[in-house]
Amino acid sequence: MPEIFITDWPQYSPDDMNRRENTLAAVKLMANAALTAPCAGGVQQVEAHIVWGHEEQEKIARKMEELAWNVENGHMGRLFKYEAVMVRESDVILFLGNYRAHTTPMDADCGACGGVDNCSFFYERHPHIDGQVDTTKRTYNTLIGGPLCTLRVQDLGFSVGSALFMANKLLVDARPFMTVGIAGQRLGYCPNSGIVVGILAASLAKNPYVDINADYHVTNMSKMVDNTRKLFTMSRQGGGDYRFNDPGWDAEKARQKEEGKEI
Amino acid sequence: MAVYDGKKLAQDKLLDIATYCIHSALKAPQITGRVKLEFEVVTGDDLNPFVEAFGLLLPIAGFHAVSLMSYSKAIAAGEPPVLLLIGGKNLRKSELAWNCGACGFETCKDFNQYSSGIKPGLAAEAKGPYCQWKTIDYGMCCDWACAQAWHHNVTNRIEMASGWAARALGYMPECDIIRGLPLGPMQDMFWYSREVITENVPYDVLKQGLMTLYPSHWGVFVGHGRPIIKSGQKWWETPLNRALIPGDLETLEQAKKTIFESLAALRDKVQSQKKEKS
Repeated sequence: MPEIFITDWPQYSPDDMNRRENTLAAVKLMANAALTAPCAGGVQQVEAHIVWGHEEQEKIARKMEELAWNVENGHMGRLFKYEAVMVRESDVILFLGNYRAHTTPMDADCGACGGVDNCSFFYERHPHIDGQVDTTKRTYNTLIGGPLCTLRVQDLGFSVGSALFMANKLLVDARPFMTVGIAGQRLGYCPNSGIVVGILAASLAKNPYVDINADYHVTNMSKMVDNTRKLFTMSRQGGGDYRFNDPGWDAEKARQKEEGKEI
Repeated sequence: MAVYDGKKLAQDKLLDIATYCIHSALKAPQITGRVKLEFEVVTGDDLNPFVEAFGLLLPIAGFHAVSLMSYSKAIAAGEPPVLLLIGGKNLRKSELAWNCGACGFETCKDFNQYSSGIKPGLAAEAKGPYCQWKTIDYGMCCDWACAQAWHHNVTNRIEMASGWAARALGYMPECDIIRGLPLGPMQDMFWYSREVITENVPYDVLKQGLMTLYPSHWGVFVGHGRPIIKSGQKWWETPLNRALIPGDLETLEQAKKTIFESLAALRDKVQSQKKEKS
């Protein structure tokens, strides 16, 4: 039987990919947990998209960084930048979206969207014909085309909760993000959804989503590693021709002489 | 040493499960981290006003009938559920300034302005409007409570009906939203595949519900100008029309007034009893 060796370094090495594939297996179960979560009337309304791999994750992180510079709220920009780092540090991304919140509301007069006991708040703000929403309108001034049916959005919360509960039981680190969801939606993940949440998942010694340093977009591990490589390379300038002159060997001989050993 | 009645012990320990559900809801991850939770646990005789409230709210939202029948049956059988009320606070305003537009406003400031001008009555189940990201957070918390009960193999079902009734009875008035999570009775599927429905709702009424929802399933050829729905074994003798009849909103509004007066009286009674007990 073949051996499976698992280690988390170097990143994306075959041994690291073995580890990531295990996280992928967990995330697949998380997606199914999300689909079977409690929801109003038991109505199917959640779609899932699983994304992993260096190239795919980098694309999402870059979209988040692009959004970071386009939002007016500086703190929100920081969220996009910090959490883009977490996207790069994750093993797998699970997108969960609700494909009814903007098109086929619950129509339950619940008052959650507008505070009145009918669905007028929703329908008066969307193009519709006899209550059938015209879904061909796909451009908005805001990040999300609201208003959404809040009961449906709450059901998305239940789905995200079930996915995270599954991760919790499988001892996989996972956390939900608005920023990842918005970037994913822009890139076409969960293509039918009006609102998307991005769940990052990883199986690493250090949970990538907690204990976050200040200025994380410039102080994260990959930046540190890159700077170490840079400094190491520069430090090589101090080296000579080891075939003729090796200060290390001279130091070793001196140590042994002190200890009274013959060389 | 003592010998315990196992079923009675299981009933008593439902309170422990409610506690674990609260632990779980409080541990649930949040995207915004800004939704605050409150909990109350309703047991025994204190469930009776809920049954009464389901009856009063029934004309506004018919699904209360199912809760009325379910709770009544469990109580009559001596196995009342333990009702965990999960309240969410801080959903009606947004300090996030994410301006994402999911609520329908271009900025959180506009949302806050609209929200502060809305005073929702009891006719709506929810005290909206809510920030959509906080709504997701609240949903996650409720889900972790449900999942915890499921993890312990205690039958449960998250409900709008008992949350709405709780609000009507004056529970957790500071909360923007309340959902009810009945725990128990100890059966496989008490809150699903509900026997109370087939026991109490006549076949004709159930079938009428289906025919109202999916009339085209029973429709006939419309080209002859008679839009008929097939109903009955000799449907051609007693044809039903697909006529669209306007709803009578005036009568409904009148009925709501009477319902709210009755609910207010019931709320005052429940709250004075709560005060006496505490």
